[in-house]
Amino acid sequence: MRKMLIIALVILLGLALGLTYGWLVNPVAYTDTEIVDLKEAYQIDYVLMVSDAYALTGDLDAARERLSYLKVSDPASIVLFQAESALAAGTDEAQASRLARLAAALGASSPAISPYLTPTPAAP
Amino acid sequence: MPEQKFFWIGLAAALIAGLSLGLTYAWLINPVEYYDSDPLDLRADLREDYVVLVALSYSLNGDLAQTQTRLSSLGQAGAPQAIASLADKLYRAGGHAETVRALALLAHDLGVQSEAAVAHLPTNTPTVTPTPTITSTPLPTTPPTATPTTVPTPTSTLQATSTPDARPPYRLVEQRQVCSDSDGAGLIQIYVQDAEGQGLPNVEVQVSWEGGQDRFFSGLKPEIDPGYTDFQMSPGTVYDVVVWGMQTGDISTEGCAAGVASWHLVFRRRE
Repeated sequence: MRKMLIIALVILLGLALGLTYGWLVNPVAYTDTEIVDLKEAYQIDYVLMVSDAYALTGDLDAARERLSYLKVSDPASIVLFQAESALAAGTDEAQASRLARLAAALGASSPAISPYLTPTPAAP
Repeated sequence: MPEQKFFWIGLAAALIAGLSLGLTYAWLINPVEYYDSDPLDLRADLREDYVVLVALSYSLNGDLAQTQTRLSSLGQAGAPQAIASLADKLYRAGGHAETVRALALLAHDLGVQSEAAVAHLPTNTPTVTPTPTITSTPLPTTPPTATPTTVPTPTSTLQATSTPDARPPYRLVEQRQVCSDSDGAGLIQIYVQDAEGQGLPNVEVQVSWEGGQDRFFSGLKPEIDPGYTDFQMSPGTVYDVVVWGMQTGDISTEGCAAGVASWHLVFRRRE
């Protein structure tokens, strides 16, 4: 009976060692992560860059595809939120404007961003 | 004695079984999950696209410090040589011209030349530092907007302040398609600005297309903006626009679900 108890304790010891090694010493390394796994700061920066790319190329499909990697149900609202936050912060109006235009192109709008969506005056 | 031997064997087997169970659970059943990863850990295709985004953003805002911070989070994928290789790879694969140009420009500004740069970036682009401090006469390579105001004193040592820099003195800060059926439809509307965003007249703009080109200057319609000029596109023709070596392309009247496409381009002088 005593020997069985010792064996059970050794199994538990092995289990503990295995978990320690597998979780702490040498955990599974995820090298193929996705955009949604990025730190929040990187995801915010990612949306900024997507709006820059859209401003430069005008490729809305590419912007949609890139934003889909965030795996949120309504990417337009994320862009809109960032546009409003950037406008409220008032640090980089050009950047905020690019975010606003992408949000609008994706179908989101709000009174805060509407002044930045004024159509370009056509040449006479 | 045999019983003792079996006990030790059983003990070893128990340890191995425990270890195996622990590792199976820790590695396969319930592994550590990383929610807060870095761009460095992204899947290869996403990491590549991340580099493209960094380059496009740099092409737009010209902020090298911010760009280098972004690239530092990408590890080797953000190294100048890797960016140049990506530019070349996309160039050979016939990638989007704007993307290739952005990558080539970024690699170039980080000190690495690429095949794509030779094809997409201007060579020997004449540039000067934006504010010449000591000049006697305008250098032949000075853009038409630079107006030296400093009067040289007899004791001044004349010194050219131009620096060898292949980077275009202007950057494209905005390129936007506007769909419309109004009278202004089909125009390339070009705004040339100084570093502070003020309209800048008398800057040469070149528009080219297959089989032809036109050259004109900003400021031809000061009632719209001091740095404004425009060009009427013909349907079915694809245009490139160049302002002092900064080129953008694939511009046409196509691409609108309704109406005709016009383009709003803003070129801003680097600081």
